[in-house]
Amino acid sequence: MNEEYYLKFPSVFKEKLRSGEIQFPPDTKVQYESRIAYRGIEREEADNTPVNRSDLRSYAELGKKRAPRGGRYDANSPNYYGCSLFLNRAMVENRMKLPRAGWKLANICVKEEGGPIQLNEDTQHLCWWLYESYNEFEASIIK
Amino acid sequence: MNNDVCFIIDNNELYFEKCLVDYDIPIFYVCKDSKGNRYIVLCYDTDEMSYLVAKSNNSEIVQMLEKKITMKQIFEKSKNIWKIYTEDDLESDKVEGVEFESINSEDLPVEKSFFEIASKDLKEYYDFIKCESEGYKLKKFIKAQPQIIWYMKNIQEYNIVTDSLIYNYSVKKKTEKNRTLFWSELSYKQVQKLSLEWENDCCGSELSVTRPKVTHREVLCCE
Repeated sequence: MNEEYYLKFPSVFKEKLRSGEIQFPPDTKVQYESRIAYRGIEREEADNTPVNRSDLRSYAELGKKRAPRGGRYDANSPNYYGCSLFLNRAMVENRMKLPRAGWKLANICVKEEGGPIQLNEDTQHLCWWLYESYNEFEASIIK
Repeated sequence: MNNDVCFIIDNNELYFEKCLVDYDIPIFYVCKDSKGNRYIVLCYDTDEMSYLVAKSNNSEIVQMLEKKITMKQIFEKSKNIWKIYTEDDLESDKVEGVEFESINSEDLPVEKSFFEIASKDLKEYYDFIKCESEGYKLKKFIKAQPQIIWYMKNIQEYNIVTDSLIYNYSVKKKTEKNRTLFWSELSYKQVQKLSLEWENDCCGSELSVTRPKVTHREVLCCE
């Protein structure tokens, strides 16, 4: 990965990559086969707006300044700049049972054209570092 | 124990143990204090990073993971619940003891919602907590268990006597001469004859029955 490659990412992330403050984890995959993953997206009951880039913004992109507690999540973790999806829909449904979800469940085809990923088969968690301009989602809202 | 301190409540440090729901950030997870008490943590406001922390125990966590109680009921059962309004550093957090009845229902898990174990990682954690709740004091999934082992060198067959009933676990033991034994998914019922494999068989042709040996081994809890 080089500086030109880093320019593809949202500004909040690319500056950290360029300065060397943040690095992709060693198990990051840039080339991979497309696969379906699930994510909750914020939609009102009657709102059927297709999945778009703003549904897949990381906490860093959302500009949330206060660091969450628990695990290794902080502004120095590359995962803070990625977007969470799950291979198993039940993992997302667990989130939807917790406060302030107000979401619908979407299945989204994760493609290498959208950016690199880190996949943990044990936790079913997929972190997707989306390129800033990527907005061609093959996705559907399933409930 | 994970060294990541999440909260300090009445000078008691709560360490992150296991994330149950991770969604961009940890939303619903388990913490543990230095005395071994467990706490269920819920991030109910991801904008302000405000949390509900409920003192729980192994049995209740197992019940929730087994869908015998809901995600909301685990808070309802707790005698000690705190709301924590986080600041930039732990010492500045605002910690407020609350009664379950006073908590806004919007800040609690949805009514009648059961937690779904949907990954290998969570299944392993369930096994781990269940082991502890049934009395096996496993530390980070591993604990030395006293066992009497009669063994014969180099014939890959062992009789193992345990002083208690331990279900299905795998064992990894380094022996003298840096040999390592591996076996897995065995059912121990007081006495079992086990087939083992040497990772590196360097025993030569020697075949002899050695004295009974009492040893402490590391036991890894698994499916």
